[in-house]
Amino acid sequence: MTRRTCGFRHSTTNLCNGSRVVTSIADCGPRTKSFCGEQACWGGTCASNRILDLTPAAFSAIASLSAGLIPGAIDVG
Amino acid sequence: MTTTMDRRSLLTRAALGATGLVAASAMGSLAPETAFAAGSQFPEPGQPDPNFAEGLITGRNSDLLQVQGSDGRLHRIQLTGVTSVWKLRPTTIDQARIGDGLYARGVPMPDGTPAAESVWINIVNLTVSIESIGRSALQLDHNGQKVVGYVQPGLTAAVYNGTPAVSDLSMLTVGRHAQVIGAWRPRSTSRPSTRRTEREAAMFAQQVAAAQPLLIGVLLLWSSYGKVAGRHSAEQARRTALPRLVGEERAAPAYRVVGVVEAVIGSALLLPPAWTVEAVAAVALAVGFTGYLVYAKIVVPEASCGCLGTSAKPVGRRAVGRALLLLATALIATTANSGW
Repeated sequence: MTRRTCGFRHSTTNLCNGSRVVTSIADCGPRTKSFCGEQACWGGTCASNRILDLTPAAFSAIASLSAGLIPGAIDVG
Repeated sequence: MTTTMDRRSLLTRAALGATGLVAASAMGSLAPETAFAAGSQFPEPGQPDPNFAEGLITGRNSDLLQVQGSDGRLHRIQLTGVTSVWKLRPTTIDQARIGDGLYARGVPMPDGTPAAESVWINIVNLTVSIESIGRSALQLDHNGQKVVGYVQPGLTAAVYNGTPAVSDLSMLTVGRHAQVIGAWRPRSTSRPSTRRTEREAAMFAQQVAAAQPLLIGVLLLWSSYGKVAGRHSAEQARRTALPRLVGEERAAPAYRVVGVVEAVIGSALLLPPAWTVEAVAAVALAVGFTGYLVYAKIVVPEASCGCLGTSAKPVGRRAVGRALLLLATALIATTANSGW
């Protein structure tokens, strides 16, 4: 993914259930270096490496907050 | 743009309508196209989501929760028969206590009260590093803040990079990074809101303290420049109380030595790393300076200060006051534990 700056809008899709949320970038993160190669799976769907932190408001729109970490995909729009 | 809606939210909407909570009119028709259209709507990114609430529970009236948001807004959240509640584990709403923190997602009813679909109580999601591992608790560090993670028998589970969750914590390693999901425990004596305020106040004091080394450093460098590099520094030295203190011929070298000491401490304060010993040295210098000024005022009343400028005026009360102020600033600087 190319580098985006603050205010850039993209949508995040939860690969577990397909729900998506459009958010704008507020700051840098997460600390991907500490969790390199980490995988998150749901059923047969897996995604690796952390890409994004969401606010509780945005995260709760696509998954339960208690899930904590979900496989996701980012696309523009 | 694809429009998707998960089965659960569709079911929840239908269920909310079925509980007779007048949610049906808030949702409009239950026809699939209307439901999908509603599902694709989201508030402008970055704007508050009207379907989401967060804050501390301040009151409870049967199935209505009063919540004070962290931005000061008051929310009233209607609980329904199908509200899913999480407090460390899926639970029932009677576990909600006044003072607990809450995140809630729901759909607004016609009167503006959101009907909660899901409620998460006291949930935290922290990136930490593990400091020590005990039988019943883990000492964690979250951005320099100490956090104790209590192990809940039968509930606490660990996921090691993509493995399924296991209750075996023996593979945890001290010093490694971890993400922790859990529920914080509100203290009965101090509510989290007040704790947060104290922390902010402490942080503010810390920032003020962190700025002091910069202030003293610049002041000391300025003052040393006049003493060491100034063209008339020898004349100035003669005007001070130094000739009386160390002898006529040693006054000018002593004046320069003071300047060099000031320059060293000033540079140390300005340059990283920030050590407390630098601020302590500044305190010692300020104490010596104040003592010297008081001595000069009593023993050699006609002597000039020789502090900063080239003024030949005798030492006055204001000079002593300034020295005391410098001392106070240096004292505050000793409490700074981070650089400016």
